[in-house]
Amino acid sequence: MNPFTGALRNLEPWLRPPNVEGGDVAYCSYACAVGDMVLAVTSDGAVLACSFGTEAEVTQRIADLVSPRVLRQPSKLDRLRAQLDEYLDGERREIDLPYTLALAGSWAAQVLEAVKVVPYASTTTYAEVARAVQAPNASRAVGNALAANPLCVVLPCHRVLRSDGQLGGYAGGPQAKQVLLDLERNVAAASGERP
Amino acid sequence: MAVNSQVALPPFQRVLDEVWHDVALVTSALAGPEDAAAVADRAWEQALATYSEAPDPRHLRAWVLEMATRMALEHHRARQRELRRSGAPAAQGSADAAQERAWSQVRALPERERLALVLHFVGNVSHAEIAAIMGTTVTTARRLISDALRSLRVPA
Repeated sequence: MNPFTGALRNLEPWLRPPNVEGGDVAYCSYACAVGDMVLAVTSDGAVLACSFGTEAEVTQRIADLVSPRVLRQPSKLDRLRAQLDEYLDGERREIDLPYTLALAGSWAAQVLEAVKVVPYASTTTYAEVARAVQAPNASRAVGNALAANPLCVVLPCHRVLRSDGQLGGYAGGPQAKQVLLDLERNVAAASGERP
Repeated sequence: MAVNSQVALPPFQRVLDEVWHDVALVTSALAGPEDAAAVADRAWEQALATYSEAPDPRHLRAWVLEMATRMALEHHRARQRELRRSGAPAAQGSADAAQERAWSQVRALPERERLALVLHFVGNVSHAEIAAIMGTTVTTARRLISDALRSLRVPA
């Protein structure tokens, strides 16, 4: 039995969530046309995550690999959210912010950097990316590295397809991949570019 | 601590989401509702600043609550000193006066008794966790709480 139950009930109306700022990583959730994402930036402003996982999964991964001092601070992600909005509205062709691949292993980081150069509205294949990173027999490993991309859209892994023309996998699901490819194709076509 | 390398720390936000309500209760009870938010914010800032090295991941909730309890008591003591110096009346607003009646006896308890009592009944921390966080045994934690209740003339 708690002798303070009554006195504690009187305190309830006064209770407010704390106002804490800082930490090493700020994050927020971002619901958009391609699905529910979690966005994160480091305290020096580098984009750390743009992922399709749940808040619990993504923030625990950040705690394990970068720093446990992780706080929900949506205002710190205003620039990234604005650029993603513009991209999804067809008004922007790349996310132009500093990023870090601290959530990817060194091999995956190499693969993801190679994907960075695939132009808007065009596609490449897992095999071509494998050749670009000097590992021509590793297209399956390339696929795995891209599936774990912590910076979806920022590093456009959705532009990598299977050699037989099939869509291949995507962290946000194949439907999300198709939406992004269609978006880019439509924007390019509308501005008179050849597909 | 060896434990740190074995048990992963959760993201700080998760601790905050799970414990903020109890921290707010502790600071409201001990520092008074008007000052509680500022004291709680300070406690959370300190928790964030020391999060990477300090805590045992198994007792994060108790760790934060203990920090908030100590800060609220320090704040209360400092405020009492200020009021004595300026000669102002102890209670300022009606809410404050009501809190004074409810919590003044608790604030008058010996430090360890008060800490154990508040952690247990306000912070809802188990005897085992109080023992871990205060560096004592479960038996001693229980005794501190029952002694405190006896001083307050509340049946245990």
